[in-house]
Amino acid sequence: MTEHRSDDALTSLLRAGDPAADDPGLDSRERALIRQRMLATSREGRRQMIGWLVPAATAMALLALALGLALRQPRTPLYEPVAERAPDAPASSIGQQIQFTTDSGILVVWVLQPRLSS
Amino acid sequence: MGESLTMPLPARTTETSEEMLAGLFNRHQERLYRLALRMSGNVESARDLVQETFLRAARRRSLPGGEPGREAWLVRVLVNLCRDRWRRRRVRRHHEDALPARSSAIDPESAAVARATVRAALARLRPRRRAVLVLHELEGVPAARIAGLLGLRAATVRWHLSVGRKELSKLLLTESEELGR
Repeated sequence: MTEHRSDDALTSLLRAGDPAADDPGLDSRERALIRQRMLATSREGRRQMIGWLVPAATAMALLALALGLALRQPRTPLYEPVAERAPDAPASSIGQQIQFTTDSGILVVWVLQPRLSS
Repeated sequence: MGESLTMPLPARTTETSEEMLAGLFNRHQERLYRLALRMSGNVESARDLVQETFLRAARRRSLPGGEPGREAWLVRVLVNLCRDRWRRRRVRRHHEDALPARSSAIDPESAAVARATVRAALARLRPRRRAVLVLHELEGVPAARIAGLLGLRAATVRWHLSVGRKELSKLLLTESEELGR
């Protein structure tokens, strides 16, 4: 009860001495100035962002173009097929080869025999 | 006060535009100025604080969506700016040990003396506690709403209110004694 009363007294004291009680607030000139600065800052920020975005977007587009061109290049096997088919053999007699080179430089050739795969 | 006790969940952010900023300024400048004045006790500081708060909003690409979210963001920025100034001033006062508001003590008007006392006492409180007390005692904002505005838990706000009232009572007594000398 006493605490409530002292809280009320404190509130009254604070309100009696409220620093903003008689203050009229920002006048129209101050308001206009702050508003103007705020909008100018916003515009400047937008301009800076655009100035940064255009080169970034151009660089990205060029990169995408270069990547697209690189992927379109026909892939050539690492080596020519190691086995040639005999002139009279059917076209599918050699089958497909998988060639790759290990880190130590050994060439590995897998020849996929069509007759074994069925 | 017809303010709701629960804060809505923070909505998605909204991209800032000139219209949005202008609207935000028109709706909140008066309230923020009063809060800044109550927090700083000085008209020039209050003006600077309001300006800096809105400049910070203008520098952002997006702000919280929804009016309550934006209002809370503005209040928090203002309170944080007050806290930064208070820290800097505390370092200075360590050497000077003088309150600027004391010059008002020579004013014979009792209202001016009361204002000087309250201003000086408030200035000695930690900014967050001061913000809680100002919002609650002078602006009549409920504790739950203050929690939403300052990003604190309601229990923390109540604790600040309880401790702050005791602290402020002592400070007001000290200040009025010093001003009475």
